[in-house]
This record gives sequence, structure tokens and C-alpha cells, in this order.
Amino acid sequence: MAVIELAGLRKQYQRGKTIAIAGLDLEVPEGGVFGFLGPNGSGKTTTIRCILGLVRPTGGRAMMLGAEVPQNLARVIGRVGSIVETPALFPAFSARRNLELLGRLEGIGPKSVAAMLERVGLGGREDDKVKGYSLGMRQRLGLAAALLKDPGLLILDEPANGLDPSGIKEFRELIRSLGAEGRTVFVSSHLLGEVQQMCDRVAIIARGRLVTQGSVGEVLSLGHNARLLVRIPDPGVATAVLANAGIVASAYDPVTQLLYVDLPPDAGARVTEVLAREGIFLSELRTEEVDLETVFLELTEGAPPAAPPTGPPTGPPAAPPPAAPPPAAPPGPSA
Amino acid sequence: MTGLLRSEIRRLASRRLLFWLLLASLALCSFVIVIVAIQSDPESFNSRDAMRVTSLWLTKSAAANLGVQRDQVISTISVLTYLLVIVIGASAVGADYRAGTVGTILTWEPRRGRLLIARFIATALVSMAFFLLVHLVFIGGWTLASDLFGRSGGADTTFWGDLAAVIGRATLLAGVLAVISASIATVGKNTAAAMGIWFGYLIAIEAIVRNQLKDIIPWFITANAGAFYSWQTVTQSDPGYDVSAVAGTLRLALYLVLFCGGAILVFRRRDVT
Repeated sequence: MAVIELAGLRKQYQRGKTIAIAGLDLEVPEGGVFGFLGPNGSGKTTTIRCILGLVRPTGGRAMMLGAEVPQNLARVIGRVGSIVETPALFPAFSARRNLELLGRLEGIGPKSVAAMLERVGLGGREDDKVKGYSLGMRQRLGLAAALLKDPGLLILDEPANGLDPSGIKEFRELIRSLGAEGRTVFVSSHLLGEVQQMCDRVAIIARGRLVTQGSVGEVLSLGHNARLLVRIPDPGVATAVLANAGIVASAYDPVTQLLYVDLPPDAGARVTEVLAREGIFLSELRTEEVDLETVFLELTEGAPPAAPPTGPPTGPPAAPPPAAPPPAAPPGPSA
Repeated sequence: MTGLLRSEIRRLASRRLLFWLLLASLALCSFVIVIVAIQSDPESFNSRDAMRVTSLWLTKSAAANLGVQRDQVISTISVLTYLLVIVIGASAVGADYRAGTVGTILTWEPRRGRLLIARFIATALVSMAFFLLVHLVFIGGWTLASDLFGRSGGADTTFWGDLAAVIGRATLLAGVLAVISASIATVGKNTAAAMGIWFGYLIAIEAIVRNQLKDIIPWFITANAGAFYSWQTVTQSDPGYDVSAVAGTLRLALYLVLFCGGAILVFRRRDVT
């Protein structure tokens, strides 16, 4: 069963001049952690606001926990906890007072509030005014508010914003444990490394539309095929030797001295054989790692699946090293 | 609804603004009482020179029966307190927009009409409690000071009955004004906007252009509030108009419904971003 189901969801502002969501289709299955990714302005927060009834969609259909929203949101909201952007709570009230006020809406007592504050690591600071809290502490408080209802579905919009590295690690473990408890955690984030580590499934959106969704493995497989990385002192000669053997070396990174060879990971033996036959000995051979960030950038920026070869391997020496992959085209053989 | 209402009342009652306004009001009341008590001359032939319990609220007929001039000191305190109640009403909603908490609360109670009605009821109750407390303290202090430094004669059951009735109506009026204020803040999403609209209306419409709008003076909020407060027909010769107590009550009720209805309509359709 899908806990969130969007069909052709649309949201336009200024009478259609600005399209925030352009017919989004999405299905979030029950249980586990679902990552919701997209560049800034892609419509992530607007989508979450539509699901939570804060913003009225201008078209399409949204279902949450089997109820059409926003029409029947009141029927299911008691089972949904959420953080939308930076958690907004009354700054002049203490964390405890803020949560008690929210808890009263659902008949949740002070004991549950105290336990939740303890769980998110705000024990001992619960009577401090929220205006004195750091961004990270506010995020924790927002998480406590979201968890207070003991929800089956958690919707978290950029929940790790402002957390320090140890806070992010704690947060990741908490999210994982929540997903493992059988809850569904729907989390939007820019921290792609974190998403890759904590999510079971992901969806990527761009310009208000779904680009892809699936398990993390499935989405990773949409990236360019992993290549072989060969560390070699003279890439020009090696490139020419490989080319004579029908192997394409598509790029070279002079900083790391890595040559990108367009062969699948299991073809490493062929590379070593061809190079060794010509008396060229490599110092490293490994498979290129394709992570979620790479796939995300490829899918959302329309980047080609791999660094394109930019000419024959007999070209001029390599250009200055790029700051990040894709690396430059390989140089030609040295004189 | 009970949980929502309780939460809203507790939120409003916990606000520092309420505490400081209450403190300021009580300080002002004490100051007025002390000044009048110091200047009071209970032996003076002129009844106005002495601090009298009955100065709080004397109807025309009661003043004639007592053979003293008509005084309604409590109405001055009421007008000042109404100004504060307007601030309390506007900030009850405006603070929510400023802190951005309206979105947070809607993720707990998405029925917007229900949320706003609870908020209006809470605003009315808290404002009325504020108004009543200030007035009770003032009446208590004035009575005590009159006993000690002035005259307490004439304060019979009729007087206390009249005073209780006017305080009852005045307190209701405080609730109405606070809710109208909260409605304006809901539409304007801002305390300052609501205050600007209130004072802009009072200064520009009711004070400056009133002579150009003679025909609609009976629809002015202050004219109707005055009739309801005193439960008498408010009559003025230039420009000539009169507003009966019943007409005043009905018009205030109409304004309350229009403002609340308008605010609910806007709030239900608005995107919360």
C-alpha cells in the first residue's frame, strides 16, 4: 500500500506565471525511509506543503494514508508528524511549553512531552526559551514535535539543516531506527550522502516533475556505467597503447593522475595485459564509484552520462585539473 | 474543539505582552486612584471636590436623585482598556504569523475554520478576562480610597446593580473589539497592519471626515459601542444622529459576524508558505 500517492499534482502561482509543481506523479510505499531529492526550486517543499494541506494544489490528486488530501486531511493528520523547512515554534516560550501546547491538541500529556524532549537530546534544556536555541537545537525540537503524535508517517523537509556532524550522525541513526520500527519516513534533503546512507528508496524531481524513483540501487544504476580508473605516470602513451587495442580512455585527471578507461569493472585484466605488453606498468587499478550525488547531478542538470571524449588521444597536454569530475580529456602521447 | 480551545487560551494567556499590558494597566489605575484620593476633599460643599464611590457610574436619573453631578469615571478606564484589548486581539494572531507557527499548528489541526473559530473564542475570553480584571481592580481600589479619603454615600444596591450591568456589557464589548481586531490581523497577517487599520479608521473616518459622512455616522463603531456600553440612546445634535441601545447591539453583532466570516473565508483559501 502506498502511504503517499500523487497523480499529476500541479501548483501554479501568480495565475500560472510560476509553476512550482508541473504534474508530479509519486508513490511512497509503506515502511522504511524514502528520500525525496531535487535541486533548489524543484518543488520539494511545495509538494510537502500540498500534502500537508498548507498549500492548495491547482490540479491533480494527492492521497495520504488512503485519504484524499487536503479534503480529508483531518481524518489522517493524527497519524502524520512533520517538519516543514525550519521548524516554527513560539520563540518566547520554552521547548516544553511549545510541545505541551501542541500536545494538548491531541490529548498528549506532559509526560510524553518530557520523554520526547529527552529522546531528541534536549533533556536539560527543555525549559530554555526557544529563541535562545541554535538552529540545530530547533531542528531537534521540530523533530520532537513531529514525533510527539507517535506517527506512522513522518514527513521531514530538510530536517538535518543546521546540525553539526555528530548531530547529523545521530539524526541518521534516529531516522533509520524509525524506519526500522515500521514507520514510513518521507525525507527531503540536500545531503545526498546522508540520503544514500539512510534511505531505502528515493525519488528525484526537477522543475516540478518526477525524474525517477525507485530503490537506491535502482536509481544508482541510472547513472553512467562505472569506469576503470588507472593511475599511470605517462597517460599520453598509455592512451595511445589502449587505443591501438580498441580501448577508449575518455578522460584524465592530472591531479590524481587517474586515467578514465571506458570498460566495465570486470575488464581490469585486459587493461593490465595490454599495458604490460608494451612495458607500461600501472600503479593503481580500481573501479569508479558512482554515488547518488553523481546520478542526481546527471539526472537533474541534464548532464551526459559520462565525461565525453574530447578528441583523439593524440591531442595537446592536459588542461589544468578540473575542480571535480568529469576530468579532462586524456593527453596525447609524450614525445 | 476543547483541546484546541484550551491550547489557544493557554498560548494567549502565557504571552508576555499580556503580562506587561496588565501590569501597565494596573499601574495606571493605581496612579489615577492615588491622584484623585490625594486631591479629594470630603468636607467640600462641591460634590466634585470629594472622591465618591458613586462617581464610578451614575446614570442621569441616579445623579438627579442624589443631587450630584453625573460622573462616569469607569468609562474613561474602559476606553483606555479597549485600546489595549485591540492590541491584544491583533497580536493574538499577528504573533502567530510573525513566528511562522501558523503552519506548525495547521499540521496538527488542518481544519482551518475550526482553528480560527477556536482562536477567536480564545481571544475573546482572554481579552474579556483582562478587561474584567483591570476594571475589578480599579473599582475595588476606587471604592476603598473613597471610603478612606472621600465619600461612600449613595452606593446602594441600585448603584451596584447598574455598575455590574455596565461592566458586564463593557466586558462583552471588549471581547467583540478583540475579535474584530484578530480578524483584521488574520487578513493582514500582521499585528501592525491590524493596528494601522484600526487607528487609521478611528482617525481618518471617525474623526477627520465624519462631517462629510454625516449619514453614516450611526454606523460608526464608536457610536454603536457607546450605545451598547451605556445602554442608552446616544444622541448628538451636530451632526444630528441617534443610535439606540438595541440598534447599537445589532450593528456590533453584524460587524462581528462580517469580520469573523471574512477572516475565515480568507484564511481557508490562503496558502500558508
